[in-house]
Amino acid sequence: MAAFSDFFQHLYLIVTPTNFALLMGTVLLGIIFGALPGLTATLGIALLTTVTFSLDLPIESAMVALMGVYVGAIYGGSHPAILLNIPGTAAGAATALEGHRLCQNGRGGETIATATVMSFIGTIFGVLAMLLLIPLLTKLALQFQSTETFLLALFGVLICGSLTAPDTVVKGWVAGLFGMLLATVGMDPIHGFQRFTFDLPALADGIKPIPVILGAFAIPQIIRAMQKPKAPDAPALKLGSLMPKLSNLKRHLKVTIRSGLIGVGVGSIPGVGEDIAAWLSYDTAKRTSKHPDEYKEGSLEGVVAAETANNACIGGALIPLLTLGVPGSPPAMMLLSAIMLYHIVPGPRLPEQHPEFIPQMCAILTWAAAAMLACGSLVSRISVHVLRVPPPILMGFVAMFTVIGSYAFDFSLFNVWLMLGLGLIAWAMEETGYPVAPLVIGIILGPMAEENLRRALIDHGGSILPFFTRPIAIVFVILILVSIFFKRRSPNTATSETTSS
Amino acid sequence: MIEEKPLRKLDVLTGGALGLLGGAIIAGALQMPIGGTYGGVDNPWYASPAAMPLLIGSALLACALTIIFQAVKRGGHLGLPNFLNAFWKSSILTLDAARGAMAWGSLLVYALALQLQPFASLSYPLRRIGATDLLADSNGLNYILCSALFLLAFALAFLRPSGRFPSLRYIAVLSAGSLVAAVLVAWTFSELLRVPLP
Amino acid sequence: MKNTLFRLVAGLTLSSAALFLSGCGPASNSAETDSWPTKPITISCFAAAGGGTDLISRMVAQAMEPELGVKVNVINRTGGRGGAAINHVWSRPRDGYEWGGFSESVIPASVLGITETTTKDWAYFMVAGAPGVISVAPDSPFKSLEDLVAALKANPKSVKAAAGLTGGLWHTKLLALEEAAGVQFQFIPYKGSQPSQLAVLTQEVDVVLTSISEQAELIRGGRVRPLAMVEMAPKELDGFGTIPAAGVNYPGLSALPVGQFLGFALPADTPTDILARITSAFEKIMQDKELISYCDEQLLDLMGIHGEESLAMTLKAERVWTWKLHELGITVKSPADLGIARP
Repeated sequence: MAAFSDFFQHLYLIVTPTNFALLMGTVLLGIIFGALPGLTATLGIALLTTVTFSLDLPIESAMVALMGVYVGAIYGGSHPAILLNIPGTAAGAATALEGHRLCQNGRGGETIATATVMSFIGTIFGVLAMLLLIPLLTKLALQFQSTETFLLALFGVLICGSLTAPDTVVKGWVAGLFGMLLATVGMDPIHGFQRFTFDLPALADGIKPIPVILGAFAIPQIIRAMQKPKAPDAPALKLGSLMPKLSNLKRHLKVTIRSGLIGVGVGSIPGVGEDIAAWLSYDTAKRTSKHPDEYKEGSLEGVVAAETANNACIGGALIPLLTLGVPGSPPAMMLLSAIMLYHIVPGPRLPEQHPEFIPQMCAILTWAAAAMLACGSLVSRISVHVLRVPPPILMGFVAMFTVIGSYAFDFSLFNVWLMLGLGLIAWAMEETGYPVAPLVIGIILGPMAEENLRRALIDHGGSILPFFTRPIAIVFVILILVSIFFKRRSPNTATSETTSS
Repeated sequence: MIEEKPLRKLDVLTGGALGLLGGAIIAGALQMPIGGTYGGVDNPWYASPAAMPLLIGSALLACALTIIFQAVKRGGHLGLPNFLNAFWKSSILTLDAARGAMAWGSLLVYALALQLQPFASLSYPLRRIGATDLLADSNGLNYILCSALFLLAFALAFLRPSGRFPSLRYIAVLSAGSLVAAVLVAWTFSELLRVPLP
Repeated sequence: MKNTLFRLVAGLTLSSAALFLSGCGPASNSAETDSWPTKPITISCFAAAGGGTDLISRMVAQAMEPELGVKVNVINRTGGRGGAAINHVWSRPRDGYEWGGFSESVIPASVLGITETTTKDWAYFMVAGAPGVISVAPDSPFKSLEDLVAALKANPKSVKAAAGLTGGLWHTKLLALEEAAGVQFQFIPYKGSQPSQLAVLTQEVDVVLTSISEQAELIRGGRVRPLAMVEMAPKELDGFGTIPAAGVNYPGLSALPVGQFLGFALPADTPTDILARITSAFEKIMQDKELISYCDEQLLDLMGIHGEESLAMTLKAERVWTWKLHELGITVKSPADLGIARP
């Protein structure tokens, strides 16, 4: 257990006043990044890389700053998701689904507190995986050829469709397909052929997820909040306690462990990120729940599953990054560049060349998780007051942020127009019983599904046999068939007549 | 979401629209290069750019048919013209719908203002009298003024939906607040976060 | 207790102050003087954060700051397959404050319909570039490039090869190798170098052709085994040994004079005194210790090429590369229409 003793040593060595202050500052910054629509963990790490590098910080301090933003940003998305039903990411949409309903039922405080604690536990799961499971998870990552990656992406879109459909399940899949359709616009991922661009130069590079996320989640919410002075969707003022309940932790212990494992596993697969992890773990939790009826009113269990998994993803994503030099998610990609700027090249030789680096990263991640727990509890005391702001003022700000958020992604106003147009479509979809979350997950996973499907087929000369002969592929094929044909006891469909908004 | 009965009627329409979309995608995909080679690489249908649009189009078509079938089974197709007429009056020509349209429309105007930059030229005289940074930047100044006006208009339009005309003092407070907020946001993004303003 | 609390508060204040200061940079002076530069410079990098182009842009920015005495920022404008950055820099006034962080893949951008500008419109500053290497999995039956060629001669298209995107630099190199050796691979496209390399690790493909700097750690760690440099010269890799050059047995490789270069560019019609100022700073930063040691570690060959020399290199590469892509049928515009002569 040399890894552990090194880890504990670094846990102690990292804590210098500078690092501590840096950690608190960057975690706070990260939470703000995660909470504001359109600003992502990737952007946060990118910005801070420039800062840490030009300040000539030593590598530990730089990593402290970057991991602080990373952990903070992944967690920060849960605040607007729970309080306003405006998730900043596709991963946050799973949290919003249960969390916002809880908030409307006056349990917003408890939900945020639980999300905070679970994000902490999830991150710690990631640390444990980095300490104990590196060889195993590296092997897992290498099992994923194009065939498996395609099936995982397809599965992600399908379960999101089935889980969010308020009417019939087919409508959920339609939304997912629509998202995947938007993803085909622009240059195709294999040949570079221009599709569905209508000769608009702005579409040549395709439709990016951020304007779609903002359009799909924020615009309908703005329209609805303004439609009725006291809309039924207006958040309840009652918050409940802001302290997490110990009994809750005990009650959801099994879900927590399972979600942590799912998060770590999904995170370690290159190119797959927090969004699939959150939906996969939410799906598993709902499917195997002992209290399925809770999901009607908003289930804490669902929030626990989604939040634990998306933070556990961080540690998971670091594993292929450190051992193979292949980042597991977009923010990890940015982190790779930052590490290389410090003359450390992640790869198979990292453990012998820089034996201190992995335990050090584990220690930093642990402290970042602790800082997130502390800052998160503080921030939630402030952020819940958002609900007391009159909706016209609050929504005015949200609107302003969605505009600059969709612009900031690649500095083009076209994305703002796209966001507004899609927002109107998303609103119409929700009114007619089509969920919007699958649309978002569809546009994120669409390119991954397409690229890997086509490549898998090219690779095997057009044969679909490998989908049924490779062991991990078979598992996914079975899961997909079950999710399509197995009639679930869906509380959503059962109550479609009674819920209306 | 709307109630069960009108929803089934609308399903017939949304299903039909989706079916058309699916068909259009398949038609569009068939225009793409399929077969032969592309870029020196073999290009059978499964490797061609058309593969995914074909699959998505067919799946959309299948889903659309399922939705229409389910709706028709519950009588969704009966009396559709009458229903639409009534739906138009009861759901679309309402104050609520107008307020929603106004919210969306105000965003549209805001985006248009950012695109056309009506206040950009104001930065020139400001620069002459020694303004620096944000105010000297035509984008920055335009962004601040547009955003402040948007926040003010949004708040004024929705804050007192049924009340009397707001007092001058009230408007002054709101204007000052909007301006301060816009400057803060602009400064945070352009200076702190290094995001160029629209 | 009091002491620690004080230190904590002081630390927090300091760090936030540091964050703010670094964010603001030196206050820009609006007084109009003749001495360029007077305000911050922006490098618009056309590749996403994390890649070689991005890292070199950041290195250049870091090294240029003390030389020019102003802040140099890097922004990744990745839209439009790089067109966003190229067109943004092109549309700006010619005052030398907007640079493009480019790599060799800017060369075919015109025929791919990404930009209106061609190579002659830009003044390139090439910092460094890495040679290409072809590798296999460690347990592969191919012990040398000759084994591989023999297997392909016996059974065309029996070996699956990954080399980034269709029409990209490494794919073009693979095509050059195919022509020089008279064989055909089964090319499987991936989105970039890292996914291509991963495909060898997961055994989805048999060989991979990417840059030596991207493969170095995998080679030293024994995850992939290099067969040959797809260049005219061999390469010494410490921790492994010498990798032979494919150009020795297959001299036809030299027909394609395209190699990687990472660096930056300004519009060629930028005022000459500004370009001269940048050139002298560029020559100084090529001596920068940090930059040199970074390139050394990344196995990037330092180039330091600018002016006439870089223009001649890129023009030659443009002719060969754009016409090659045109032959393959993946161009949007004909190089002839853009005034690019057939090689």
